[in-house]
Amino acid sequence: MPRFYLHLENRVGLTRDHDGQEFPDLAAARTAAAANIRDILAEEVKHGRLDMRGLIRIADAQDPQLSVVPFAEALAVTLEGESG
Amino acid sequence: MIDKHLLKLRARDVISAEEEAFIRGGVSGSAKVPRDTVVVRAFDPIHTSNILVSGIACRLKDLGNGRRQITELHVPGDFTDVHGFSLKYLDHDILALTDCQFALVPHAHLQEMTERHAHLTRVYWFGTNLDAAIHREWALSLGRRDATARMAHLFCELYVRLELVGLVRQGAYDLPLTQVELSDCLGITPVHTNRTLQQLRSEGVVEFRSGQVIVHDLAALEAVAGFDPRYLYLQRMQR
Repeated sequence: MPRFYLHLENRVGLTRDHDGQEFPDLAAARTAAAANIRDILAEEVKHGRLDMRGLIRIADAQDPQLSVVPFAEALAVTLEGESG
Repeated sequence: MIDKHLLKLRARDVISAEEEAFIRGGVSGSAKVPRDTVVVRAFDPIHTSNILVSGIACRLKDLGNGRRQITELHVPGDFTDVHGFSLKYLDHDILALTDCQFALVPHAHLQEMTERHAHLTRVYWFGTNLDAAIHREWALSLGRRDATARMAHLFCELYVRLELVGLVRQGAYDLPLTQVELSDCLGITPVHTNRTLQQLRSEGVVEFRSGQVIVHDLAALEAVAGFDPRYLYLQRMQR
């Protein structure tokens, strides 16, 4: 299985993924990136903060800019006054 | 082969020379297993228990689909599945996370121990109680500590447990786990694990690098974790 690197960029800066993880394909890596984003945001919400400015940049051995999953893509946010 | 096991027992009780001979005499062989090997599979009948001689192993519950929870890490000297003697099968896997060596103890020998060595029986009963205490502490971490405190707590626990068996050197110990395995201990995702590691590193508390945990400030690590080592029952006394 190919190895993908999930680098995180959020309000506290860049967290580089040095280990990487194996996924069957890029689609699976993007699904995992979304799950990682939800887990990180869930912890922030418990501390009373939700900052949607951030992304996970997916790289592989060849391409450092293979794909990007923005936080906003991983979470459906409905604000007061908006229709759900 | 089981020197670290004896070190661990003797940290909490006095083991006589006769008892030591009985323990050593119970080892029927050894097994070397490569990393990522299931050593004992959940629900398989078992007739032997395993003392970890070297490497890192774990107790693991698996929901399938990559959703798994490590419920305890095992360090050299641990009897990874002495509870299997009375349970007859385990409700979880024992997994070698790194290349491991185990000393094998047939259940017939443990049976003989319960019949002939009352004190040793209590020592091993204490051992299963200690594992239960560690499970309770992990349940507390998973349920109530945030990711940073949870990670700090795990590093504190391993510091104490590895120091008992002589595996902490200058504030550092080997923990050759992947980020994914670490995240399976902590109940968070690998990127979240990586982020939390970076936070603890940037605060100068602890570093996880090249399979090593390097504690820069143990007092700060314990403070972040809210670590109280009493659940590890570190007094040497008659059990």
